[in-house]
Amino acid sequence: MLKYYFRLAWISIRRNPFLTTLMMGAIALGIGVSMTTLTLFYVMSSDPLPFKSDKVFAVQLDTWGPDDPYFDDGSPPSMVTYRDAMAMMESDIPTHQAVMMHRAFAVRTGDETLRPERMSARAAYGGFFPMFDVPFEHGSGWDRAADDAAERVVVVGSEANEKFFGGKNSVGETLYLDGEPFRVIGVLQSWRPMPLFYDLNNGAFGDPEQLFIPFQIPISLEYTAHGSTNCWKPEDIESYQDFLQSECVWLQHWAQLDDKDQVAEFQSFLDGYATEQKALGRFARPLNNRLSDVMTWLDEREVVSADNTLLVVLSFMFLVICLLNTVGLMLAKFINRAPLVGVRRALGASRGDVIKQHSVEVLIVGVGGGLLGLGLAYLGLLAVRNWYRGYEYLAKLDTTMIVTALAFAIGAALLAGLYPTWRISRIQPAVHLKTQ
Amino acid sequence: MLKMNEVSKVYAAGLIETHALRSLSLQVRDGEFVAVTGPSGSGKTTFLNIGGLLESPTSGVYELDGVNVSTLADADRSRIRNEKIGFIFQGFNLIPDLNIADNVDVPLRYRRLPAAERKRRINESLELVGLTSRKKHLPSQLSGGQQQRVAIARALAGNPKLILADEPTGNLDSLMARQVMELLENINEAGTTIIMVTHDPELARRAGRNIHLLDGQVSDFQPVDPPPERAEDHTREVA
Amino acid sequence: MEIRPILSTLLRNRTGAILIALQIALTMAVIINSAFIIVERSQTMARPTGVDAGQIVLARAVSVGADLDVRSIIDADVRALLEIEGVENATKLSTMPLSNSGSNSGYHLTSDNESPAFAMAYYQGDINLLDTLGVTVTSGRWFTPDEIVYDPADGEVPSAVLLSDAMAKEAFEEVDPVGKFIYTATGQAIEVIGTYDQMSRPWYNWGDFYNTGIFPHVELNFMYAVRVAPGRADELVPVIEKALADIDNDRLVAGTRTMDEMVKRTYQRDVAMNRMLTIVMALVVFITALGIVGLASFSVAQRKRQIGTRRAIGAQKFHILRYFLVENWLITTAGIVLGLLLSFAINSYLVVTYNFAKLDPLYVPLVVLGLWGVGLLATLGPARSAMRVDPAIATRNI
Repeated sequence: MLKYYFRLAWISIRRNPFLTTLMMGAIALGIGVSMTTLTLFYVMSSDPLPFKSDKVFAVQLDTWGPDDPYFDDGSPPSMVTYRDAMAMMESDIPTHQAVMMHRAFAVRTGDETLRPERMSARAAYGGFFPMFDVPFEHGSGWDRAADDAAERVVVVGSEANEKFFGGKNSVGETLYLDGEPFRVIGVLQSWRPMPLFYDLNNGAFGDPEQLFIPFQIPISLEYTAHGSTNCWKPEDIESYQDFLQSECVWLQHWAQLDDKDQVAEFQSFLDGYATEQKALGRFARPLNNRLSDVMTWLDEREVVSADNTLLVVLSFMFLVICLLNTVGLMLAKFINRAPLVGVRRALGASRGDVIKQHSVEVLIVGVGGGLLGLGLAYLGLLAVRNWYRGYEYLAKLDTTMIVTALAFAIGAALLAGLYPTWRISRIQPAVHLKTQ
Repeated sequence: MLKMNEVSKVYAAGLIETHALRSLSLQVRDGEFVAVTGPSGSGKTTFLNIGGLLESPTSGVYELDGVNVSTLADADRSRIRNEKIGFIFQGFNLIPDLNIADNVDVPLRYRRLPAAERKRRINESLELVGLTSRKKHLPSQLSGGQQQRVAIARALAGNPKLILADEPTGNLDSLMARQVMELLENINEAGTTIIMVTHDPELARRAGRNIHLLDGQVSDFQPVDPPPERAEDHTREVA
Repeated sequence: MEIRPILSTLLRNRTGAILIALQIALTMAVIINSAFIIVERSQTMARPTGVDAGQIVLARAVSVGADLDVRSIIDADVRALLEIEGVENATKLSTMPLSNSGSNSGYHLTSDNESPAFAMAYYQGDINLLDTLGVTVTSGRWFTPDEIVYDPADGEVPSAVLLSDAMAKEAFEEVDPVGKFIYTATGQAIEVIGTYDQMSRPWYNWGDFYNTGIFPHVELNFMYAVRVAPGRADELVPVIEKALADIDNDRLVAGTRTMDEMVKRTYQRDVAMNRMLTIVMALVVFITALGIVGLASFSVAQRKRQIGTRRAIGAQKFHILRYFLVENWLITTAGIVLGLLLSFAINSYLVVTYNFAKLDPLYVPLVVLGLWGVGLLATLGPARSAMRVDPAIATRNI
C-alpha cells in the first residue's frame, strides 16, 4: 500500500510541479537559513575539551581596585597578575596547572637565506599539554625543571612542522625565535580546540598557536604579552621588574582539578592566599576568587555573541514564516483536490487511508525541501566563511548537523502538513461527488 | 438487501434546519432494480448518500445486507462501501490523472487485494464493459459514454452486492445512455441489486420498481405506470 | 465602503486569513528588528576616523637582536619609505585608529590623584605623524623634534601632549587647554601643547570614540604609517613591503596592508551580520509575498462562481478588484497590529538581555507602509484575474 501512496504522491506532484516546487522551496529556504545560523551557534557553543571540560578550570582572582569591579556584573578579572600566578604555581593541589601568555615571534630555521616569519607562540608551564590533552605526534612537552630553568625548548604544531621541517620528525632540530636558538622536543598532531577557550583575547575562533615554549622565556627576555594588559593601580612602573610586581593583570591561568574535594581544596588555598595578601594591602575587594570550568567560562565570557543568538532567533522566525506559507499552499492544494478524495472515500478509502496518502506526499515535500535546504545551508556557510576571516573551521556542516537539518525539515514539513491533511481527511465525500 | 426504518436526515445550517428525509421507511430486496424518482429537493440524493454510507442518518435504523449500519464508525463504513457497494455518478467521477486500469484498480487497492487478483478483476470488469483495449488511456481520451462504462467497471470490480447509480445517463446523449442502461440491466440480471436515482421517466420505466420521493418521504403517487411486461417480470421475480 | 461584508466573509473562512496575518506579523518583527540593527551598525561603521584612511598604508618591520639602535633603524626605514615613488609621507607610530589594539589610560587635572580621572586613548608617534595621517592642529602647536622620547628611554616619559578637540572639551570644558597640564595617576605632569581636530580610538566598540591624545614618543615596535598619493594605496602595498624588507634580510616584515583593509577587518563581524540580516530580510519579504500570492489565487479560484454572480448582478470589474485588495489590506493590517506587539517584545528582550539599543519608533510607520505595499502588490495579480472572471459562469451549470 505504501508503494501505492508513493505513486499517488508522485502523480500529484507531477500534476502541479509549480506548487510543489514552491512548497519545497519554502521549506528549503527556511531550513537553509536556520541551519546556517544554527551551525554557527552550535560550533561556537561546542565543548573544546569534550572528555574533561568539567575538570579543567580557569582561575580568577579578584585583585582589582577597591572602587569598581573588573566586570560590571561583579566578576573578578579574567586574567591574573604575574606575582599571583607565580604564587599559585607553587601549589601542588591541582593535578596539572599552567600560567600562560600569547606572544608573536620572528621565527626561522637555521637556513639564513630565508626571511624570518611572524608566528604566534604560547608561552606556558609544561602542565599545559597534559591538562588540555594536547596530542603529540613525536616527542613530548617539558617538565617543571625545564620551566624553572627557562630551557630553550619548543614544541611545534603540525602546521609549523610542515612549514619548517616538511612534516618529518623534527625532534632534535633547532628553530630560531627572535634570533635565539630553541631545540624542538615535541611535534603535535593536528590540534584545534573549538572554541579556543584558554585565551579569548585574540578571538575565540582562531587557530591555536603553532609554537609552545616555557613560560619563563618571554619573562627572561622581558617581553610583554600580545593580548591585553589591564591595570587599575597608579604605580610607578619604570622597569620590567616593576611591571612583574605590579597589579596589572595580563596572564591566563588554568588548573586541572579532578574531583569536588580537589576543587574545594584549591579554592580554599586561593582564598587563604588572598587573605594573606590582604594583610599586605593587596586584594582590596571582598573575597571573590573563582574556579570556572571550561563551559562555565565560555558562557560567562559570552563566546557566543548576542549577534549569533539573535541570528538564530530571527532565522527560526523565518523558518516559521516559511512553514506557515507551506501550510497555506498545502491546504490550497489538498482542498482543491477534495472532489477526488471524495471519490476515493466513496470507493472505500477510510480516513486513515486518506491521511496516509497525503502524509506520504507531505513527507516527499519534506525530504525534498530538507535536501535542498541542506544544499542552501552549505552555500550559506560558504558565504559565512568568506565573510569572516578565521571562521574556516567554524562554519562547517558535520554529520550531526546534517542529520539535524534533515530531521528538522521532515519534522517541519509534517507539522506544516498536519492541518491540511487533517482537513482533507474530514471532508464530507457526499458534498464533492455531485459537483464537478 | 437494504432496509430503512423511520430514517430521518436533518441538515442544520445556523438557525435553519432542513429536513431532507422524514421518517423514510422502505425496503429493497436482493436482486431488485429500483428506480428512485422525485422532484428536486425531494431527498433523492440524501437517500442515496445514506444508502451508500456516505452520510449517517440523524435518526432511524438502516440495515444493509442484514447488518445495522446506521451507527458504525468511519473505518467500518469505509470497509462496507468498499466491499458491498459500487457507485456510479452522473459526472462519472473518474480520477483524471489515473489511466483506465488504475481507475478500476482504486477500490481493489483499498481492499488490499494481492496484485494478481487485482489484475484479474480489472481485466474481467473492463472486458464486461467492452473497454479492454483502452486500459492505458486517460479518462480525458474517452467519450462520455466510455467514461461512464469505465465507472461501471470500477463499480463492478469490487464485486458489490449493491450498485448505487446517481443519474448515470444524465450527462450522456441518448445513444450512449441506452448502451449504459443496457449494461446496467445485464448486471442486474446477473444478480446485483441496483438502486438508481433518476429524473428520466423513460429510464424509471425500465427499472423493476419505482420509488417516488416527495418532501423526504415515499410518495404513494406513482407518476408513471410501469410497462405491463416489465411489471409481469417483476411479479414473477418476487414470486 | 463594503468593509462589513468583506469582514464577515473573512471570519467565515478564517484559516487562510490567519495564516497570512501570522506571516505578516512575524515578517514585521523580523524586518523591524533587522532593519534597526542594520542601520545602527551602518552608522557605527560610517563614523569617520579623522585620518585620511584612503591614502594610508600600514606596515610593520621587526628587527630582532640585542642592542639595536632603534633611532637609526627607524630613520633608515622612514627614509627608504619616503624614497618610494608615490609615497607622500611616512611615520613611525604606536598604533592606528580602528586597529583594535592600543593603549588607554586615566589622567587627572591635578597632580594629587584626587580630581576625577578622564580616560584617554593615546597614540605615540614621530614628528611626521600629523602630516602623514592628515590630522590638523586646531590650537597651540605640533611638537618639535627634541620633545620626542626614544625607547629604550630608561624611565623617561614625554612631557608634552596634544589632545583631540573632543578630549580637550571633556577634560577642560570651556577653558583653553593649551599651556595647561594633565597628570598621570602617579602625579607626573604633562603639558598640553596643542589640540587637533579629530582622530578616533583604536577600538570601535568603546564609548567616547574621539577622546584621544598624541604623545611625542617612539617606542620599539617598528609600526609605520605611509601616506601615498590618492588612489594608489592598493598598488603600493607590495612596493612598500619590499622596500622595508630590502633594508635587512634578517628582519621580519608582516601585515603590510591599506588602512581601508584594516578597517574592513575590524568591522568584519558587523559587515557579515548586516549581510546576513539583509538576506534574511529580503527572503522574508519574498516568501511572505509569495504566500500572499498563493493564498489569494486559491481564494479567487474558490470563489469564481461567487465573483461571476456578483458580476452578473451588476458589480463592475473595479468593484471586484477593490474587494480583493480591501480584503488583503484588512488581513495585512491585522498582521501588522500583531507584528507591532511582537517586534517590541523582541526588542525589549534584546535590550534587557543583550544591551541592544531601544527600537526607534520612527521605523514603525516605514515598515507598516512597506508591508501594506507588499500586501497590495502581491494581491494585485490574483485580484486582476478575479476581475476577469466571466459573469456567465454564474449561469453555467456544472
